[in-house]
Amino acid sequence: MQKVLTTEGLTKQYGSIRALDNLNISVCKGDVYGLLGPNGSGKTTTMGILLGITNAKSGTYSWFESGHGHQMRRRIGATLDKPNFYPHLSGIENLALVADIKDIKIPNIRAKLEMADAAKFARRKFHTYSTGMKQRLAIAATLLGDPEVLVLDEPTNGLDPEGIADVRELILKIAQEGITVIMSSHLLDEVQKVCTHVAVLRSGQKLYEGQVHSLLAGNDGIDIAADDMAQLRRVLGSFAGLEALEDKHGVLKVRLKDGFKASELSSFLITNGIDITHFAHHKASLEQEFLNLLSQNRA
Amino acid sequence: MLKLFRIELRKQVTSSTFWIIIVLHAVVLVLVAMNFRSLLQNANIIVNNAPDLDLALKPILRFPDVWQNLTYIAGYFKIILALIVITSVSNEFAYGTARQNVIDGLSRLDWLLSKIGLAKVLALFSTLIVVGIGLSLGLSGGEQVPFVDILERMDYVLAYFIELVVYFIYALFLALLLKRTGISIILLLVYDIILEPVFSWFVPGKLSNFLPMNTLDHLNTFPFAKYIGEPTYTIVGWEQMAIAVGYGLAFGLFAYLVLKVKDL
Repeated sequence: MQKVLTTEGLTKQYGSIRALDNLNISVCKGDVYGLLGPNGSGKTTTMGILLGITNAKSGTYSWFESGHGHQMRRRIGATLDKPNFYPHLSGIENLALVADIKDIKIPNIRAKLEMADAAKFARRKFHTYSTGMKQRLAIAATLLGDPEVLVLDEPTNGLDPEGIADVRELILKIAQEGITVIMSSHLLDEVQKVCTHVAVLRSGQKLYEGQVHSLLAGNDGIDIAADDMAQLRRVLGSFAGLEALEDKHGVLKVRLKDGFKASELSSFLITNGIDITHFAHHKASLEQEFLNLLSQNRA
Repeated sequence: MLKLFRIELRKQVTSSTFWIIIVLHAVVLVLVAMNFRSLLQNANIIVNNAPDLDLALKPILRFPDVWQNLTYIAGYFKIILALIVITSVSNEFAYGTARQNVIDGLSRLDWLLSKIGLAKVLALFSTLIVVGIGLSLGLSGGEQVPFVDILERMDYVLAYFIELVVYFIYALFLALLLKRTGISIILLLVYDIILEPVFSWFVPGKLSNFLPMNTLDHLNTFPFAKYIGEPTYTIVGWEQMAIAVGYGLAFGLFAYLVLKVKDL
C-alpha cells in the first residue's frame, strides 16, 4: 500500500514542556486516519509540523514518500485550529486566493462550495459569517484542486447536529473516492463512524496506532441476568463461544470469542432452560477504548 | 513573482484601509506641494537666517531643483504608506492567514517576497505621484523647458524610491518581529525620532551617518540651505545609495530569518 505520510521521531519542545515525543506514525493511501488525544496531547502540534507552520525540534516526516516542501502541501487540502480567512473578502474571493496559491488552473469554486453546502452565503464578506459558516467555507477551501489528502483539525467544531452529520457524510464520500483523510476530533463517536485508522496520543507520546476495528475487536459485551443466576453461570460456562465472564452489580457481563454472535448465545441459554430477565448487547465504543488506553497509560 | 504579486493584490484591493491610506498619502503630497512656498517661508532656517528672503524669487519649484526639494519633503510622509505594510503583515498574523497561506502551499520565502513586492509597489506608487506633482509644478511656469533640464537631478527620484523601499522593508521586519500593529508603529517612530538620535551620540564621528535612518536621511540632505548661500549637496551620494540598498537587503534577510525560525 502506498504511504501517503510517514513521520520518524518527531519531537517538539515548548520551553520545558515536551509537546511531542519521538512520534512515529504512517498513513496509507485511502485511509481515514484519526488523531485522538486529550487537550495538550500534541494533536495540533503534530498537524502544525506536518503542514509546515510549526518547526520540529528533531525528527523528520515525508508526504507521498517525497519529502515535505511547499510543493507537497499544494497536493493537500488542510485547515488547522480554526478557519483562517481574510475578513474583508467574500467567501468566493477567499477561495480564489487559495486557488491562486495552489496554482489551480480551473478551481471550480462553485462546485466545491456546493459540496460543503457553503454556496448560499459565499458572496458575503467573511467577517459576517457564523462559526458554522466559517467551518463550511474552510471545508470547501480544502476541497479546491481535488487534493490527494485532506487534513482536518476538528472539522465539526461549531456545527449543529445536522451540520455534523453533513460533514460526516462528506468525509465518507471523499474517502470513497480514494482520498486520504487525516483528522482530529474530540467527538469520538464521529471518529468511530468515519475513521478506518486511529492514533491515540497522550502528552506527546503515541499510545496506540492501528485500525479502528482492531482496537474495538473482541470488546463487544453482553449483559445478562436471569431468575436463577447460579444456573445461568453454570450454563454460560459450558458455552463454547465464551471468552470472558464477569459478575458486576448482579449482572453477568459476557464477552464472546471472535465468530460467535449474541443471537447464538441467547438461543443456547433458552435451549438450556434459562429464564432470561435481562439481555443487553452493547457494541464496543471507541470512547471506552480511548478512555481505557488513557487510564492504562496513566497507571 | 507575477503570481506572488497577484496574490498580494487580491488581498489588498478590496481592503478599505488600503485605499484610505493610499488616497490620504496622495492627498497629503498634493496639499504639501500646493503650499510648498508658504510652508518653507515659515521654516526655522529661513526665519532665523534670512528673514527677508523672498522664496518666490527662488527656483524652488522649477527644474531641476524641484526634484530634490519635492522628494526631500515627500520623504517625511513615507510613514503613511508604511502603515499599509505594517497593518498588512500584523493582520495576517491576527487573522491566522499567514499560516493558512503556508498550509495552502506558499513557502515562507514566497510569503515574504509577496510582502516585499507590496513594499515595492507602494514605493513605486508614491514615486509616480511625486513625479506627477514635480512635472506639474515644473511645467506650470509657462516657459519652454529643455528636456535635459527636466531630467537633471532626477537621481533624487531614484533615491526617493530606494528610500521608500528600504523604509518599508524595515517596517515589514518590525511588523514580523512584533506581530502587533500598534507596537510596530510606535517602535518605528520611537526608533526614528528618539533611539537613533541617542545612538548617534555614542557612535564616534561620521559612523553615525551609517545608522539605518541616518543613511536614508543622507540620501537627500536638507536642500533649502542653498537658497541662503549655505553649501548643499545637489547630487545623490552613490555610496550612500549602496549602503541604503545594503540595509534593505539586510532587513529583508532578518525578516526571513524571523519568519523561518518562529512558528507561524
